Amino acid sequence: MRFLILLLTALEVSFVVPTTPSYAIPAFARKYKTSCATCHTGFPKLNAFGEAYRRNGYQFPGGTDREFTKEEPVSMGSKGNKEAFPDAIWPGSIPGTSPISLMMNGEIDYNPRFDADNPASVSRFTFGGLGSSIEAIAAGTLGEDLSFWGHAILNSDGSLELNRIFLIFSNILGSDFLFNARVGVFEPDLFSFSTHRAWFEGYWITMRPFSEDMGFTFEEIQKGLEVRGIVRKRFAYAAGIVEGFGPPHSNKDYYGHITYKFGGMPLDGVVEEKSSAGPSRPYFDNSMTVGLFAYRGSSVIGPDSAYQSNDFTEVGGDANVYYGPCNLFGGVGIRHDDRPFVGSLGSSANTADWFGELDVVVFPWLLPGIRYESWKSHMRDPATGRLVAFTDNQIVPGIETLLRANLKATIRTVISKLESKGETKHRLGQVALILSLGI
Amino acid sequence: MKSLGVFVFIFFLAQVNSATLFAGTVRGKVKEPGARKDANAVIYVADIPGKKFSPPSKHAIVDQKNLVFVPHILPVLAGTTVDFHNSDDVLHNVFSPDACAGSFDLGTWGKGEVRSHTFLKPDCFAVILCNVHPEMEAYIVVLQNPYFVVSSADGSYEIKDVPAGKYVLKIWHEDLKGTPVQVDVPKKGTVTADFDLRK
Repeated sequence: MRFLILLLTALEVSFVVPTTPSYAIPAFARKYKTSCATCHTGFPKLNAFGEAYRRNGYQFPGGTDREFTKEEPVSMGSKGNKEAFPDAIWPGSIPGTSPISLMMNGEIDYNPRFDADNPASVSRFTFGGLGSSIEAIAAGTLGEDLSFWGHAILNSDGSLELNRIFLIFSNILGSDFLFNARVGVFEPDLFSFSTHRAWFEGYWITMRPFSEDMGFTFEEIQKGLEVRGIVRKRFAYAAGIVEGFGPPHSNKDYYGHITYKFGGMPLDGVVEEKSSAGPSRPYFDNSMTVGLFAYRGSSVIGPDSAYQSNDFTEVGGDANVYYGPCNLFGGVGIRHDDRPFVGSLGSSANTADWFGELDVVVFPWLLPGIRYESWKSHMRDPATGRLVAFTDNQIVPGIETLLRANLKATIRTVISKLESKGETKHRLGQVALILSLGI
Repeated sequence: MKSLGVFVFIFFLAQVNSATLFAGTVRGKVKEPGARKDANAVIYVADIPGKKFSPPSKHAIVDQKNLVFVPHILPVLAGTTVDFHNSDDVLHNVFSPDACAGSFDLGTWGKGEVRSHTFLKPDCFAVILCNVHPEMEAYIVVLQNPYFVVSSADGSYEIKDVPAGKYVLKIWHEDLKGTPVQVDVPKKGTVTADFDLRK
């Protein structure tokens, strides 16, 4: 911990906790001696190859990981031990050098909604969050078909947050990543996109809790087991059982997700015939990916003295279209909560949320995008205690600029109308300049 | 009659092989203070006015293997066609932003496929890139005559069969610079020319 603090000081950079942790992995760049851009179109967003690399348990496609690895791993047992099994430990390896990557993020904010008369209001223009955290990500492979991921965030107040920590066992059955398993603390595989692999994080559909009481979100770290795989190169599935929201309880959450990719690079990244005759770009992947998911949750909400169960179900889908330098994608979810309001055991609620986003690669380093999101749900009126319907929506425009392949500056803002907060018209929210560096 | 035949034979040889019959070798050493970049310098005879050299019919080759261009530096005679291979199991692209090389983009292709490009303009030092893997880089050095070589790992070089005469010998390196030197290539034998590379 002290080393990290010293390193941060030595670099003379000041950073803040990002809104959401992002995942571009310099340790992978070191392992293969290749650029971030091999897997990312503006990190942390993955290109088609990077997506295949992720699905393959952080291994190069087609069984070529060993061939492309340029940092010789340290053997934890020769491969001849496979023949000696069970009288020997199954062989494996550890990365030849430290698999730890550091992510540093800084933010300068302008707040047009500043209220000088309100002491709680944040400053109109502030460097206030700078220097508050650094992320450490450990990721790699432990020999063939066993991968690991660990993520910790060190805050300037001395607190340490542990984020996703999991193991991936690949090719348990069959080959070509037909049947794989992930165990640990992870983000359930429900969509073909992720807020952690996006230019502009914070999708409502995966990040917004129903209410303060019912704080479940899809991308909350979940503890459990997930099986997933790729069938015939273009069909993928995932199914999992996880602990769910709230203190430990008997009922678990279950989910399933199927997806299919038309055109472009196959999901496993093994290209057989694809080639372009004329000028090309690595982010050209003319294709459409569609997916469907279902999630059944059983949460425990409320104060310690009066726990209340809330079962909920959400079904939905997503579509992801690439055409030339454009990427249009979106998702929709329809959800029913049985008892999401603490103390109102008879009140259920329905929620419908969706979003659409257009990302464009103007140049490989200039990446503008815009997103529209809608969230239609119910809330309890604090004055009357009755349920009222509301519709919130927001527009999230932004531009990500790569100053280097591992250093970016992102300008983004939010223009929102939140009926849930009594707003009747769209208003400009915080404008943020976010700097992110991965080493 | 017999002496006439000998004369004609000698005259024929002189016309056809004068370049190699009266040609010497230029050799030397490339030095760099850090001694880390002695290799991969291109040493070449500057333009020889009034002479035209036919490009080879055999194509030169640049391969892409383990995310690296091989070779890293390839000098060619103007008009030479270079075949770009892909020996990797991942997609590769080849493009060059240099106008002297035609600012080409050969597209993206998989293992086993070959795309070609002909480098026409001499005195062109074209960077070759892969837009799938931005760390990959090679250089095609396009020259007016075939008297060139790439320095070896220890910095030594040797250009054989240079026609006798006075020339300007130049050096090109992707990061460093060297001063051209005058050489007087003998009809037979060797002339030495060393280069110091500087930032």
